[in-house]
Amino acid sequence: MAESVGATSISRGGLGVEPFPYRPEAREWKREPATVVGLCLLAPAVVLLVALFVVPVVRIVWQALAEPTFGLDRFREFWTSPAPRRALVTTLRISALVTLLCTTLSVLIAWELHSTRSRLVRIALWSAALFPLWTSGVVRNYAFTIILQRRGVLNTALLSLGLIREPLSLLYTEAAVVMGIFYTMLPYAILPVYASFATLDAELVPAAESLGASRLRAMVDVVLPLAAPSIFAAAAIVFVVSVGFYITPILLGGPHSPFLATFVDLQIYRLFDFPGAAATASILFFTAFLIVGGAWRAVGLERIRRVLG
Amino acid sequence: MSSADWATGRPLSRRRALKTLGASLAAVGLGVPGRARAQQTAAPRRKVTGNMVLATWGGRYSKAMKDFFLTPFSQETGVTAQTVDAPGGFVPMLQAQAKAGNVTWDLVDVGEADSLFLLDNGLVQPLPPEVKADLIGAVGEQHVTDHGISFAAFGWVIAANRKAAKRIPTTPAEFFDVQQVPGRRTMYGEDQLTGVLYALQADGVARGQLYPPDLDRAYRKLDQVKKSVAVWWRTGDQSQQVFRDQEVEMGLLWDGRAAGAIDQGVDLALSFEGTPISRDLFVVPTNAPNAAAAFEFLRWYATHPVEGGKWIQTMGYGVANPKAYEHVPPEIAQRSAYFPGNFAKGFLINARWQSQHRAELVKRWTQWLSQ
Repeated sequence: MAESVGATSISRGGLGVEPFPYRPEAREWKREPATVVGLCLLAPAVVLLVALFVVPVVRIVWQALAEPTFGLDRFREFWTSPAPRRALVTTLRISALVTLLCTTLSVLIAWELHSTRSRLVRIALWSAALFPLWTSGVVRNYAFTIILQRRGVLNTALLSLGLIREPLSLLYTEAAVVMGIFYTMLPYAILPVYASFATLDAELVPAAESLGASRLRAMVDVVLPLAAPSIFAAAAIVFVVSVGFYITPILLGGPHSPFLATFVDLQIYRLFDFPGAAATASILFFTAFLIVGGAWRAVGLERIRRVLG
Repeated sequence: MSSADWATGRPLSRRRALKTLGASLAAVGLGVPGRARAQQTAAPRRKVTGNMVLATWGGRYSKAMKDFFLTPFSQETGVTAQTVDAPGGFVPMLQAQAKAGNVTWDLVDVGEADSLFLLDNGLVQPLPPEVKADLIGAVGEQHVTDHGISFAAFGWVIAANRKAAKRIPTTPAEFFDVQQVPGRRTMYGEDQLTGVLYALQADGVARGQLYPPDLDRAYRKLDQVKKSVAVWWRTGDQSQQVFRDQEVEMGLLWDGRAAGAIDQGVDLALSFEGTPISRDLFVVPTNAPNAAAAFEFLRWYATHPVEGGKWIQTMGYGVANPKAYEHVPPEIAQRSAYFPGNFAKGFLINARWQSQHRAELVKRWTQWLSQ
């Protein structure tokens, strides 16, 4: 604490000026609350987390293991039959693609939101960024149906512009699913990245440029490393939510792009196989957990290495 | 297409998904206790009271169920009746209720094959002998099983848009002949058996020799049509929408939905040649809180063809009592697969066989489709 007080005083008052003399005998303000207070403050969140997350997850995993007989049979069934494996691969592939698209675009949009001086651009961008959040999932997916179908908005426009002769098959494809999830998840990526850009010192880029860096170099070497934790958090949010998508793959996708959530639905509602569904859900949960955890570690190590030089 | 409209079809995963978005709001009780009227006093009326809960499909379907069956039944008997929407989720939800020791449904309107699964697992009760005898006396043996009575029968018809298709397929063989009858097609994506039964007929298997189906032969035939299937529809609404938007030119879809598309202005030609017909059954769960009222409702339903006729006219699905068709305008009746003239060209799906081979059928179909 003492150091930061000193640093502030230097920047404010100039060298050698000490407005608040350091007195070690005074009772220090501690940022950290007492352990008991901290635990009390945490308790509601912990109780909710345990009751609404830990307990259900444990029960799901337990059901997959224990019913009808104890063992790994339900998990073995998952890995030995092609349909669920295919669904898992499709889910991960589409989610990864969506994550990449969302993260990239969210960095660009968030930077523009942060740096633009034009009120109009800012209003337009904020509206575009937040609109998906305000629209109901059903309406959003139906809107894509209307845009993408054979006699839809997009095909009609392309046909009348003479760019295509035959309407394209856009709906009920994997691309439609990617678009639908991407559009839904974009705000979840923009908000954390924007929050991180907003805390950046506005003078950083001009400072880097004054030292000879190009605009791009300043962005890559100065801005992005500072925002990296938020960008990564945004990517993690997008990925984790995407792997659980259910309605969009049903409404916009065909049978060629089955999601694991729709496979769980099939197990419960058409095969009446609760333990099998529990096994599928557990596998999805742990796969997503491992991927995000692994990526987190990889990024963390990378950052440490950079700091060490 | 209003949300109430698309939420009225048959087993739909999408509707299940969206149920929380509002359909459950419709699940409120009627609560109009009427007075027992002695207008139909042929048989002495058994005294039933209390509340009866019927689990059914939601949306327009539930509304028609209330308007044509539950409300008049309440007025005649004094039993209050309410519906609960559980579209396509009857089996897992009843399993969960039984497991928790708290069955809340008195009557379920469930597909016949699913009802056999429930019966085999002790989740629904057989009809008491005197109830079964009364039902058979009213509608005939064909429409009554040991545990329920048929309701909402529907067929899988061949439909083609006269305005868009170059040739109109009229038989299973023509529908599967993509060279002679070119065009974009639609078929049911969450199928188990009807695609197989159509494929076998298209390959020359006689209707009487379909069981047990030769699955390898059926899937070889299905392979031939697969590339021409532009949309594998998953919901009744979608099967209409792809015709309205000319996403496809022909397809296999439910007769009630085909009739709906015609009413919406699509010029559809229907063929009932080789139509597989499915039906729901009204069944009574084991430990239903008010089973007596449910059985009484079954008797009422079996003996009220006028109400059945109104239901057919509105929803397009068949009822057990054959006399109901006398109360339906002929041009409407002829669009229904359960209409006696059309029924003769189709056949009832063997629900027992389907129930026994459920897992194998679902898995093979799903895997074939995702390849």
